[in-house]
Amino acid sequence: MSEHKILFVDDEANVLSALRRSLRKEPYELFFAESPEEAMTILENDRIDLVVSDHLMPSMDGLTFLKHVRDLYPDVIRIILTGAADVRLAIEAINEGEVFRFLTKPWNDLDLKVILKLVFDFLDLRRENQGLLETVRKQKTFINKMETDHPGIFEVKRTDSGAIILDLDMDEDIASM
Amino acid sequence: MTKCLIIDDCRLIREMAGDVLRDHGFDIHFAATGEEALQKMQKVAPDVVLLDMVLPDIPGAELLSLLAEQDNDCRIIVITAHSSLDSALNILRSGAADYLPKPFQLGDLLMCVERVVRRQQLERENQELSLLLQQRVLDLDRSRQELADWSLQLEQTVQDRTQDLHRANAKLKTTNAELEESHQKLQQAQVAMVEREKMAAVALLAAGVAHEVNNPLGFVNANISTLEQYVLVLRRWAAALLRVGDSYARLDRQQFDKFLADTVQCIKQDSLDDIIDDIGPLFEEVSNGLTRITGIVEQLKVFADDGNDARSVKAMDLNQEVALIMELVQSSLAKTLQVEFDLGEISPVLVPVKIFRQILLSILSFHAADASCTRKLVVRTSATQEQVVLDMIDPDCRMSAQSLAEIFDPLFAPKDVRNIGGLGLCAARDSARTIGGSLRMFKRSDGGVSFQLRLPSNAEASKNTRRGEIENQLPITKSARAEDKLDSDCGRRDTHSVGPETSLA
Repeated sequence: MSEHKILFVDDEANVLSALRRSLRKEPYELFFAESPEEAMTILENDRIDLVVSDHLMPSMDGLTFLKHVRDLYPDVIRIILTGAADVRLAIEAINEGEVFRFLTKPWNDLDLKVILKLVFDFLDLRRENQGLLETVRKQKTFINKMETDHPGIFEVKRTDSGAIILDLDMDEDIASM
Repeated sequence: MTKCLIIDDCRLIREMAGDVLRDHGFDIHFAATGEEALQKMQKVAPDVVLLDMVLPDIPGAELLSLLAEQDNDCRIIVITAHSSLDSALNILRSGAADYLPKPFQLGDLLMCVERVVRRQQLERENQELSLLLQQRVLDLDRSRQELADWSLQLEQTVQDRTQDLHRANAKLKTTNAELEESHQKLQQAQVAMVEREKMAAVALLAAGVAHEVNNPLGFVNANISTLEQYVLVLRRWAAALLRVGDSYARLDRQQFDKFLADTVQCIKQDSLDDIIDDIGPLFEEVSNGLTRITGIVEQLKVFADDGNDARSVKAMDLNQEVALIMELVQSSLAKTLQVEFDLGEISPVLVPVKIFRQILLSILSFHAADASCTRKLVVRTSATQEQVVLDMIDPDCRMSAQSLAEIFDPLFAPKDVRNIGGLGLCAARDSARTIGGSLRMFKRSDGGVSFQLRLPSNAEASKNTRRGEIENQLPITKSARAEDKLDSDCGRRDTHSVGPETSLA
């Protein structure tokens, strides 16, 4: 599986470079943007898995930005990392922006790494689940098709004594599939 | 008419006497015998009876007592032939009113009858009068009794009423005390509410400061964690290098090669070049963050150092003060708020700095909370002859005229209110009044909305400033109060006691 891609958005370049340092050894591909606009360009060009955004930014607040992200890229996981520890904001972020986590500055490096790990475990599980669901769906379609082409193919015919009747004419058809 | 019964067996006498008496206004009735006399007596009920003692059927004395028995009120005059004093006395004792000896003159008869009648009338009148008197006495007694009863009742009523009044008075006193108590409580609640609104304004500043500190604290923290990692790597590398040096000193070629290879490996594995390159910027960023935190703390100290008494007055450079507060508040609103300064030449203002800041913060937090306000603010200062004018103009504010009219109502709530109501502005306006200024909010001709704070400019203050900063206690100006009494004035009474306690420190 390819490296997970994280996009950090903060108008404070110092915060971005501190994050870059903290995560330099982690198995992630890191992207940084100093404004939501820049972030949108990156989202267009790369398949980002997770966006971590500040809240208070000059052009657009982080929550509004993450709502845009949700609308455009519903599969991208969203996290807020802000210095304004406002309960109301946190509730709003989780309820309306469907934000995965609400983190406050100053953050703890270890906590951040753990949360990133959790996020990607969750993401991988979700993807695996989706993949499995896809397989199940494909098999169902196949079964339906077979049933239309050869009605009764999945029915087992039995004699009165319970012995199974094999319809040998079917063999060729099945073999060709 | 007086009725007279004449009893005599001699017809001549009857008629003579009857004529005389009839002529004198009597109603005359006759009886010739005792039997007839008793019947007539019953039938006529005469006032006066003339009785001849000698009758054919009943003896005179017996008839006399019968007649007297029959009618107590009737007066009987006895006519007798035996005019002895003795018999006269007997006659009078047995119930006759008078007696007339035979033979008599008709004049004597008339006189005698009239005398008896007069006496009878007198007696009757007397009796009536005494009855009347008795009646009167009875009435009087009854009246007196009633009066006594009434008086007693009145006394009781007065007592009852007095007690009622006492009770009502006590009740009123209690009610009054209760009212006073609830009034006091209301006042306290009002003070508390005004205080809370002021605190809300301060909270805005605090939130800004917290954010402003948390940001650099965040990256300084993270960088220091990274630095710990770097130090670990560097120590590992130093140890490896020491081993290399050691083996070189011992001229152990084999060991030397091995340790050298390890060291090179170590350098590659930990990307040591990157680390060494990064240490410089890392320190720079950490020191940058620390400088910023220090700066904020310094700014806060300016707030804290203004003395303990909020009413302490000093000449204040309004432009500088506004810029300072905007810079501090900037952090929470303001990365999203575009502030444009248009600061004019103004003389220093002599007002309590803390109250001024509190007013400004109230305006800013209202502006931040109200949904019809935009994220733009033009801060303009100018001076008139007597006043310094501070305009906080929101050029694109869409506030309705009605909201503007109600905005100083203590119960006014702006749209999409977050944490502040009209009380904050109301308290701010009262604060402005207590320091001799005024606060208005109005729609400008160019479409925007202006919060306008006017403060008295003090010529003395500018002189004093040239001599150096002064710090003195100004009496709070009250004249501004009279300005518009019709306005609601929440917290007016309490502004003196409340305003000063709000502190930014």
